[in-house]
Amino acid sequence: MGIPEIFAYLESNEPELQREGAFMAGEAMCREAIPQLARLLVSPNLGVQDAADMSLRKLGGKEVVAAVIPLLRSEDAPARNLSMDILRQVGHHNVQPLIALLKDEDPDIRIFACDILGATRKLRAVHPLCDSLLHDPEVNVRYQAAVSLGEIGKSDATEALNEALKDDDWVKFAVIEALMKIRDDSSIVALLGALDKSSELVASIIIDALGEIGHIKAVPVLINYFTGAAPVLRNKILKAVVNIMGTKTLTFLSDKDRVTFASYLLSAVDDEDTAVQDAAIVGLSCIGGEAASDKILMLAASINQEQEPERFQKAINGLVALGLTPALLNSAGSDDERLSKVALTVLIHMGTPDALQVCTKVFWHKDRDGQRDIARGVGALAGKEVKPFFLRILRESTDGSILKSALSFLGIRMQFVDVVEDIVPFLNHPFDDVKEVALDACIAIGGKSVEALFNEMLHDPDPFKRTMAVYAFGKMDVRSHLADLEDALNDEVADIRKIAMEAMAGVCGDNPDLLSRVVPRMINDESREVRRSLVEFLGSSQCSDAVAYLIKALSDADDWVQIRAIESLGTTGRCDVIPALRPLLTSPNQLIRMKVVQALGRIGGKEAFQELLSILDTQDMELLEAAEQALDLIQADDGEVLE
Amino acid sequence: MTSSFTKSITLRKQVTMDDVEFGHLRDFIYEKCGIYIPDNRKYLLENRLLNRLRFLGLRTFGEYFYFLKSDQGGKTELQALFEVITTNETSFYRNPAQLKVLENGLLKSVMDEQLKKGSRDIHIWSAGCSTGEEPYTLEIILHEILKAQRSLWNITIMAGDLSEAVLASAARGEYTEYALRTTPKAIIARYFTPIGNGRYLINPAIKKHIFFHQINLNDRAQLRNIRRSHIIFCRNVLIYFDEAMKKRVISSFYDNLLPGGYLFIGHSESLHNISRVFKPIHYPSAIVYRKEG
Repeated sequence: MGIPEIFAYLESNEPELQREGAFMAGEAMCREAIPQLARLLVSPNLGVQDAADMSLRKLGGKEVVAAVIPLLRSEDAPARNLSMDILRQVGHHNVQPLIALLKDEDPDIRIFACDILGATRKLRAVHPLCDSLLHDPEVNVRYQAAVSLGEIGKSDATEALNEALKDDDWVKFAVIEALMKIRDDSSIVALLGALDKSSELVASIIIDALGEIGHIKAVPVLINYFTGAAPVLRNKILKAVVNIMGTKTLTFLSDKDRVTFASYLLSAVDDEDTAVQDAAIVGLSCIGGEAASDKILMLAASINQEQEPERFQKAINGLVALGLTPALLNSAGSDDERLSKVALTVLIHMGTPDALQVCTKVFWHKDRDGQRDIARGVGALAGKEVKPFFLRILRESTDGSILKSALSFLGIRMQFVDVVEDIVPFLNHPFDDVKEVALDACIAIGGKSVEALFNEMLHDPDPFKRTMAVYAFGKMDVRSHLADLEDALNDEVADIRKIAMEAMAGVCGDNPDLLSRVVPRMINDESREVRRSLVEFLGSSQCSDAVAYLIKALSDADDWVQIRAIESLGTTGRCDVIPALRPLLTSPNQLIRMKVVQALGRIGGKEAFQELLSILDTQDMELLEAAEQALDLIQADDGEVLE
Repeated sequence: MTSSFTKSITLRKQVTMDDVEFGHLRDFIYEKCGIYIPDNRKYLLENRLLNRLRFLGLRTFGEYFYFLKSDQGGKTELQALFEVITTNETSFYRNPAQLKVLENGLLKSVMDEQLKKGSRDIHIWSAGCSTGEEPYTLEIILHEILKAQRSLWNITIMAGDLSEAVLASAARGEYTEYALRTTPKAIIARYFTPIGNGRYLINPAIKKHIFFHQINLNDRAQLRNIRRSHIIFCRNVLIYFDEAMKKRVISSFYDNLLPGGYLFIGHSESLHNISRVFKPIHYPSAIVYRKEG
């Protein structure tokens, strides 16, 4: 749609056409339409307003700022709010006219200007806002200036904000919030100085701010203030001190104060403010004791782990620090699911033999999810003492996830030789993931009996068993089973041939006899997966014959076989492969073209350099970029090419 | 023998997704369908795409990204990608409070308006219908309200989703007991036929009024071609999108709705800070958005 059509739509009387025109103006970045779009912000039709709004935001720039500013004076409240919102988003494109509004006669306009300037986050706005904060006669302007200075968050505003702590309470709230956001150390003295002269409400905000700023200088003053403070402020002080000092909180206290502090921390767990609760957890975890453990357990059980994962973790960490308390042990076996879950999580986090033993004792009384958590946690951390526990799981549990934890512990982690017979039945488990872990468990244990088992499976009529055997030999000791793996290349099942080929790739690259036996018959394998694995195998080969096979693979019907062959040829560094690669520079597959370019870069030398130069006139920007990188690589590696 | 077991075991090294690959794939997905994958979901994308890499025999997520962009197979793979990145957690009669609003008056008011205009045509659009539970539920509600009069009305339900695989499943109309977990027993008895193994088939009388179609909510041109609706359901779909995409989608719904039409979004979703074009109408436990006439 051209500009005349856009204007025809914008000037139509039909709201749907106006909306369409407004969208088109945005999509076409039609700056000429900005004044018209600004006018549409006061359209009675919400759809038209919406489209004009979206397009003005998209267009942005100083013209939009200029066009929207007059709407701040509109009597139509929704239009005024909309223009404020647009200016918050695009005002940074031109702050000067917004700064000028700070001197407007209308206090409402000055408030709007402060608000918008805050959203621009521009340093240029800081000093004019500081001026408004300290000198504007209207309290709401001063308040908004403080809010915006906090939003901008530059320390250039600190001095003015410190000064404004003498203003009335309403402004002071915003000033303290702003100082909290800026976190400049120079505010500490000003805030501490204001503490004694403030109302209870303002003092509470100052205490929060001191906690947030987190400077150790505030701690002694806060502790002194604590004794004489109103009860409502005490939890705030506790929070602030714990926030600043963390687990070292108690080192600042005398023995007597410590007892008093501990009792306050216990009651602070019940505070409505979750931040106070969290601070109490940290404090109590240093003090210890049964009462602390009990309180934190109850609190943790009430936290929704999904919605507040960090708070939950804090509570868990606190309980871990308190150790194996009777409250924790009782909770682990509790019928209260949430409490029990918390206790088990704590025990698993502790990870000590005693803690994990408790988990195994309560395991059989828990629901499926609880059992899964225990099996996973114990399996990852415990030692050989829990072997009977996991053997019982293999006998009695039917849950795939729990079985996997048991198999993984017994076979993969602990490699108990005498449990092979217990694990082998799981190679036939109906769940694939259980089968896989059982297989890896057998492989990890290894030894003669396991090897014999896989030897037998290798010749089993069941293809699943043959697959497992080939996979196992590929993982255990390929060189000892080379003949078996070579036989498996004749298997009727493609997946088995593929795994056999993957297994051989790692060790047989330097064996020319093997190469001449394997490659001719596999390079035409009907399965592309097998051919891909073969090409990877050839890529790892040190034999000179491999290159000829790789060149042959360049004409494979499967693109990925070609790609693997190109990659492998690239690593040979041989210039004589370039003629074979050259035709693929015109492949319809872009990735193949890219891979050839990268391979030429790796091969290097004059011929590759010339080849790459010849494609610099391509219209394909990605290919061009790859060619430039390849040329850089050659120049870096082999500077004489250019000479 | 091809099975998930033999396909999944491999001696290749485990592939992981680096941040550059994640960035490329995230941008690609966003460009194609508007779904935004936040950083904390990287592991989920990696897990879910790993099977695609194995299936395609690719070594890295970078190769997968190229494969998606390539002409060879990329288009087909796009569908597989869509299936992987969308979840299809839904059920019949999900969020009953919203459905009650439709049953207890809203539908009737739309019908009355149509009758005043001398029309018996109503169009409902279920945008993001997943495996079909929502549009079928809507049609069941229509049957329950109108009973024999259903045939006197030309009410069509257009049900769209990004994934062709879920649409194929929706068109089959076969469900497990789990999909019916929030459905009243009497409704199950009336509109479903048990076919054994805990599975049920939706009755053909319900099926025939629903038209399934593949839809990409990021494709404004495609959305413009959808017949204009009296009611749009788009529940629990906006959660996949970032703010810009939400704004685009809601704007498209506004354009599609006829004046006086209604938009239902998920009960935990809101248009706050997204759009002001709709008038929110508050019902007990539900908010419905109306396009003013």
